[in-house]
Amino acid sequence: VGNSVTSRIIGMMNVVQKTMSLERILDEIVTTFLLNTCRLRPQISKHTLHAVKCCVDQAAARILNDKDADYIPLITGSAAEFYIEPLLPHIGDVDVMYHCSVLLAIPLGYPPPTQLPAEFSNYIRVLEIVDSHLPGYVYLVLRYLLTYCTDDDMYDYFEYDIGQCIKLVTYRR
Amino acid sequence: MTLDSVLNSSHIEGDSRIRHGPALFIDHSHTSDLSVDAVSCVRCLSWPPQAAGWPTRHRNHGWPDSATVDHVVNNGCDVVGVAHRQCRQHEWMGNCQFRLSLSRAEIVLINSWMPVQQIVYHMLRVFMKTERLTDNGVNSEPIAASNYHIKTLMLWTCETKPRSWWTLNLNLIKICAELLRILSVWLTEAQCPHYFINNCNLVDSFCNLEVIASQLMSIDKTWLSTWFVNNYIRKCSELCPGNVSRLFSDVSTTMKLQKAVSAVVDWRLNTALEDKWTLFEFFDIYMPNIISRLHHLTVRSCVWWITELSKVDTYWLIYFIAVAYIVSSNGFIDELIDVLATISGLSISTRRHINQHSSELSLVNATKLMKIVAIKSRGTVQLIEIELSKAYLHRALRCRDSDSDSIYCLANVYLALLYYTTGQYQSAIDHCTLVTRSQDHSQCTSHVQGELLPKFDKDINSVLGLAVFYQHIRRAALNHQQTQHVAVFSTEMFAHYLHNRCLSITQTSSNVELCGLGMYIDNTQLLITDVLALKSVYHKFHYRPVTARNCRQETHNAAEQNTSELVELLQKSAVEHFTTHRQFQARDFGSVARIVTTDYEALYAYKRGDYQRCLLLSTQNVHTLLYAISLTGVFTFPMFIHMFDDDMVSLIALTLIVDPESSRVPVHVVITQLTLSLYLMTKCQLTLRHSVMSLVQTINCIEIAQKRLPANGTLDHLTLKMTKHKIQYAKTMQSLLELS
Repeated sequence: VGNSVTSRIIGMMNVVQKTMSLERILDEIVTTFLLNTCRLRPQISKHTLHAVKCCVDQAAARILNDKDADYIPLITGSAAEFYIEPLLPHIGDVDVMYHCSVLLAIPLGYPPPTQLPAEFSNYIRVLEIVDSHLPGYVYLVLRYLLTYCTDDDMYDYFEYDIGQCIKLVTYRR
Repeated sequence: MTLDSVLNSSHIEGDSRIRHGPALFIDHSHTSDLSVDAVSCVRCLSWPPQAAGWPTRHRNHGWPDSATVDHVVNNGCDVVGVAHRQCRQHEWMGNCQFRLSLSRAEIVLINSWMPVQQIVYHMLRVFMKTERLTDNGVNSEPIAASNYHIKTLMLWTCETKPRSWWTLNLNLIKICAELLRILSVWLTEAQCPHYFINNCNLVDSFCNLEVIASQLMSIDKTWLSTWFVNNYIRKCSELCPGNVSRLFSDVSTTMKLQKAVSAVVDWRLNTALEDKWTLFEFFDIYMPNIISRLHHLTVRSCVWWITELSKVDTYWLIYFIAVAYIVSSNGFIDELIDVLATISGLSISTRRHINQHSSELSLVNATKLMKIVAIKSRGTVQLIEIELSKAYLHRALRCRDSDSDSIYCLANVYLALLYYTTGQYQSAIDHCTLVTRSQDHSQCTSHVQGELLPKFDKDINSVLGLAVFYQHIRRAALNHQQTQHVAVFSTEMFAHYLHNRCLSITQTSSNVELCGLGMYIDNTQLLITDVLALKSVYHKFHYRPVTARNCRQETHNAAEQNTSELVELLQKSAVEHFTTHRQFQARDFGSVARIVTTDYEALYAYKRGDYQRCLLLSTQNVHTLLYAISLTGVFTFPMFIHMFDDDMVSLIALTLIVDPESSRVPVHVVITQLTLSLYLMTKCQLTLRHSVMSLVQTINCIEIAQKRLPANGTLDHLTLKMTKHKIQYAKTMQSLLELS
């Protein structure tokens, strides 16, 4: 009985060893495959160019009813995050975030800025970020109007009397 | 304009648009382009207090390092217009709630990952997507995890695990399995802490994620490695040629599997250069098509191109400059001055409401360019910068506010200087005259800056050197503490000086008169440099001619700039840049395709009527390319259309009339370097009246090319056919002449 139990255990151990060995081989195959087929060198790709094109479209576009407002685009998502290029295409679409040059958000209680990057317009509405009851979610309250003064290359500000909460009705049209 | 309209308008071009929460999805699936997810946001330049703990929290393993943390914090964040799922139905909150977005921070952090971390992130995304465990639809019910959960998991793991955890005995499957286990725990416990924001849980308590959690929990290493072999590697093999992908039809043993996988890896490694070449060829055509078709050459778009392409390679920057120059030369308009100045490295303000056409701003831009030119050697690019400086100065003079004496005089003196530099002495004299004829210079507060003067004149250089030396003596020996900028000239004095200088070159008579200098000396308070320059003038030009007639030259043309010079320079410089681009291509891809580097030069020589040069280059190119297996192309429309002659333009136009889509699909308006060379060679031979024998040899070459070029190269075959007809017609005419 003892011998048969021992031989059964040995048989099971052989199976386990074989399985472990197969598992190891498969792990190694997948690891080697990905390390060798993912090109690590940063290089321009169709996605990058397409994303650049989208951003150039945005940069060149103007908001129809405001001559002073520009879109300032930023490539985000996979196209911006990955510097590897796997064999299997990993970028399904191009994510572009764009902000408007006449709007700026500031944290609650921060003073209005006096200097801004050149991408911003000369008249800017400053929205104060107010916490909601949910972390990560906020409200925007219209607080200041900034006007650019060419003499000293600084922005002057005017404070709005009553903070107006900004609505985004059209987002879900 | 309402805030809503600003926040919610979208301008990305596209045919099919669908809103997904805050994102506008633009479907390009019917074209070769990728679809676009565009999200409008409000920029916040400050790091949000809601994430105040992130920069300062204790980290055991050195990631992210302090420099990356600083970079992230200085980038600030954005605010995106989307309400929390719980609040969407609420009348007020649903309309007014926004979400903090830290995408900028995430990009910086993910870019700082090790390659192995990026690969793991890629593997997890592919696995979750293929198994339909993730759902990117913002509005859909939360029955699946999202890519954001995976990103958060990766960010936390990169921070909390040591480097050795990722790299020691590297096993990607083991890492993925462990990460999926952590994710399943998060989902089971409904606890997925936001990577940046304190006390923010990414899993809602009422999210129905238990199913996914239990699915993830059941995954072990063996299952996962088998999954990747069957679903990832096999899919990759389908992208390989048949002889490689076929190996996967039988992978019944580990040996066979290893062999098949090795074949895919080898193929991937061996095709790296070819893949890169395919991409580069694609860009060669795609980039000009975007720029010329969409008319997107503005200062702002230009800044974008330059910034983005600089990150990639100077190779592409050179190509962009070449394309921008050739597109600009195609229809030069005043607005392009700013674009070209931006390409020259001048920082043009993109701020709205700044009057871009104020005389002062134009003068400032001109002087900035002159400063660049003054210190450089004289090449085509520098000549373009000189022409741009002229354009700015002419713009300054055209401005309504240019009546100010200072701007008027200074702009004219600088223009005179630039015309003098480019050898256009009569124009220089005209502009000097406009200054010297001006009656009252008491309001001229600006001076000619010595640093802007090109090093053309030894006398002026000596004067500037002496003035600086004089100031040094005053300061050092005489202990005069007050410093003044001495390297400047009065505008009127300099105009007189330059006027006489030009006359000394253009006149040969021996009359003795100095133009107006006597009156100038009587009326003006002189600067030290003026005195020294005047002395030099008297010494040098005492016996040189200046007549009153010269001072009264017609000056009505002086206010307008002839842009033909600039257009010519733009074309020349574009060809130089394209040639450099070709040289890079030949260096990097010479083993993949046969590339000649003088095709653009030959085309330009033909356009200028230098047929001998064009023939020489084209003949060499034909010999190099005739039997080549892989050839590269030249973009004909719309970029180079003005470089071709009437026959070629007519042919391209006919192609476009028959198939209007050709202009949208760039590949249809591309001809190979071989076709272009054969065409140019033939045209030059015909123009230079070469013998019938050499024309027969050319026909032979054309016939060889016709057989070798692929049948789908419509424009190639049409061009070759037309070229052959040209030769045959010329031969017939020659025979008729001989007979008669």
